[in-house]
Amino acid sequence: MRNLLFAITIISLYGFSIPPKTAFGTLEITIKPQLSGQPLILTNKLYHSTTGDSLYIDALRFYISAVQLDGKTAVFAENNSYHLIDAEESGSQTIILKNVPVGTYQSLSFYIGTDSLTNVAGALGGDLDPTLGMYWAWNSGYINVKVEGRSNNCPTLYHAFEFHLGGYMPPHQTVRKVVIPLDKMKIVAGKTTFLLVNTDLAKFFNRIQLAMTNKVVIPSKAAAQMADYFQDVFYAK
Amino acid sequence: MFLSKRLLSFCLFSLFFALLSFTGDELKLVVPEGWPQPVYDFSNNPLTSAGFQLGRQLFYDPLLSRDTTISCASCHLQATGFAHVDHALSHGIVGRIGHRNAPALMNLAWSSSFMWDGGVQHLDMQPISPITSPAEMDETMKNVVEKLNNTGKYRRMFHAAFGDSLATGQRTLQALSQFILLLNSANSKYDKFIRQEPGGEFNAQEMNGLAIFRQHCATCHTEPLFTSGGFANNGLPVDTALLDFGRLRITQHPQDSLLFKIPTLRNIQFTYPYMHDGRFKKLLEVVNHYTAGIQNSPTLDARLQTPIVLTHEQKIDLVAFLLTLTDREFLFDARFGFPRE
Repeated sequence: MRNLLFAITIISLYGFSIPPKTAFGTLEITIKPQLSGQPLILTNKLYHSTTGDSLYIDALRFYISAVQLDGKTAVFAENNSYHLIDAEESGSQTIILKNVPVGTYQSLSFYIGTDSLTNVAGALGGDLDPTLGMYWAWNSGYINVKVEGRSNNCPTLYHAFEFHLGGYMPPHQTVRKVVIPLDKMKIVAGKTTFLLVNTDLAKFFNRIQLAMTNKVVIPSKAAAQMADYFQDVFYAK
Repeated sequence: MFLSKRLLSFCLFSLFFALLSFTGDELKLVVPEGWPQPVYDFSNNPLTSAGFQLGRQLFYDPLLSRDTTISCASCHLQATGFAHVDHALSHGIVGRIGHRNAPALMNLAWSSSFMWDGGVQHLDMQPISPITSPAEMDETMKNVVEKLNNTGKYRRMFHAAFGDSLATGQRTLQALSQFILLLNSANSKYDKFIRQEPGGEFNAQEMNGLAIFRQHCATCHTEPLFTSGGFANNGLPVDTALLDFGRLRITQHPQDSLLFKIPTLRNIQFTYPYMHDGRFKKLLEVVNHYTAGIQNSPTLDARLQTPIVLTHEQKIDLVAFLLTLTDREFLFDARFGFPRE
């Protein structure tokens, strides 16, 4: 009996020590909120859109899910891939992908928002914890993107604008896929590769006029339209 | 050999420790004979007695509200089927009044949507609505979790339930679900009649009432849950003060205008007042609505297009049958009551 246990232990220990056939590296993605090429500063910095709005931004938070890298020979999809990016928390702006197979990758893709199954999966933890203020109660589901701020052009209380973009049910789905082409990004065995992804909110604000569009807070046609605009803010340098 | 001995004892010790640290004895929801399987996925939130007790404590704790005055049990009283007896609309902090009737809570493991308009898709997420609604508890989930983490009693209870004393939004909601999932009512006189058990003997009036029920009501209020789980416009004229169009608010489909969740009829004797806005106080008023009060509109349910015709005696028999859905074992089950320490 003892011999048998000993043998099993040795065999299982040996099993773990077999060197892997594929080599792996790490990718560190930084998602940098910007407006017109300038780093985004919340609350105190006045920005100007090409549609004539002067505005302050008070909050920017969004979900990124199903992060994936695609190359000609290698593919990598992150497991349990849900990230809440918050302009106020610099720690939230880094996504570290470990155990990425070595190779050359042509594109990075992810979804803005969370898939419909996540919306009906019950109480979830981590970045999906409902205490994080990204969950709607009465018409329940995750908010994919929150953009809040102020502009004198808004005929609203405190001149505030509020965009809470979400909704996973047809006809107003608001989850959008982003594919960012990469310039033959290499993942090297045992090394960390760094990738900077910018999110330029000018591409969002230059397509709306805050006098007209200043409050979108339920799943709707307007939310779907603004989700289309937000899809275009991402690019890699 | 020495190595293997130490390894073996280490393994045994780890196993023993792992068993010890799991203090939550597993609980199981017993599916009553002849019932469908529950829709709730227990694999994501396994029931334990420690989780159930935590959920029960939370359910009865006004700490969940902004000013610590309102608990879930304020509007969901056990003795009346976890409904708010005699109150047409739900009540909130500082005397605020909501805009719908607090529904009875039972057999929710079989429910796939929640609230009168079905706006909530999962039981775990349902409590976020009353907790954050300004007309009810007017609190944030973040504050609730913070208050729980500042309470020694809860740190101990979270540790017992989840093996970690930290309260999170996920764990708080899962514990509430564990309590609510076990609120199972399946021992009414009707159930005993179906199972042919002692105490289930129907008299002639109740038998006649059952036949009338099955002919006119059971396609929406489907046995054994006494709800199909669907939504219907049951011909109620819109209340001009509330202007509540039900499911329209959720889907924005015109065909969902005036559709409301079909409620269970179990324990209906005590869950008055009735309907989404609590407009009817007596069961006979409800029956009279279906025979004489149906208002036609483009979304009126097809099953109510042909008028239901009942004599006065038939109405009385129908009500007599509805009273057989009262389950006193459930209404007075000490496990579901206020947790006395």
